[in-house]
Amino acid sequence: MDMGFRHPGSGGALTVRSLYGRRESCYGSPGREVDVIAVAATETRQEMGRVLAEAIGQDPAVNELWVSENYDGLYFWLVAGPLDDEDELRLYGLYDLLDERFPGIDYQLHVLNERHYPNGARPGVLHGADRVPLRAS
Amino acid sequence: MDPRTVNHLRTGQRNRDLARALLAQPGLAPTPWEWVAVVAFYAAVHYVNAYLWEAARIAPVNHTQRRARVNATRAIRRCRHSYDRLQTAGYQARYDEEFALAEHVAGRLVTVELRAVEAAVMAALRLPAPTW
Repeated sequence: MDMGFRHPGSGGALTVRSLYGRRESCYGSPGREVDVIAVAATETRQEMGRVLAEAIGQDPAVNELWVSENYDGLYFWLVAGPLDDEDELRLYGLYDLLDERFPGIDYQLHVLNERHYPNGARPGVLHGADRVPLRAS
Repeated sequence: MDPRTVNHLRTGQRNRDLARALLAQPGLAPTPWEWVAVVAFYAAVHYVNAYLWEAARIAPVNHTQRRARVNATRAIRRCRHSYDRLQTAGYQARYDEEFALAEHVAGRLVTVELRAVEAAVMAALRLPAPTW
């Protein structure tokens, strides 16, 4: 994986490429590189999850939201439905919101429509994903 | 048109025809509907690759990058949600053993979503619209 580390010189800016594609700049010692990436990646992941959860709001069509990481970025999983075609496409409109708010971040959004899962859609969520709270229960 | 573009279009059309052929086979056992989704998605991948290569000499290295290009490219952006749907169905069909598509849903992925991607790419390349 290309982490994009670049050391322009002692005391200069350290440019790092986060796990999700966003370029971050900071100052610090090389020993903090991993921490910088981890913090940037975690913040991005949390913020995108929060924005998505807020957008979904009280939408009764969406039952659960999960987030995981893959080699090519963040994966958001919406467990929803059962949905008809129109509602499923409507949920893909959430891509537009995230694209606008988080340009340059590598991610995918998967709508797991209960309609296509005889035993429930949750097994479709990638193993190891974290659940994002959607609404106060 | 660049030879690589032509190759992508040819592969996209081949995958599309394979998906349609699977849909046209009554009584296949086991049912191939999830594989229709996979083949249809890879048809879409090649159509998108054809446009990106011809227009900008871009060859995405993964699905996330390709999808981002679909969204960011005005000429084909209108097909983005059809592409999204194909991508998820293709992903789930490949990796999730619980995923099960009904025949009519698989058919819609081809006749509606894949057609939308193909039409957008052909229009962007100033080629004739699909007539199938």
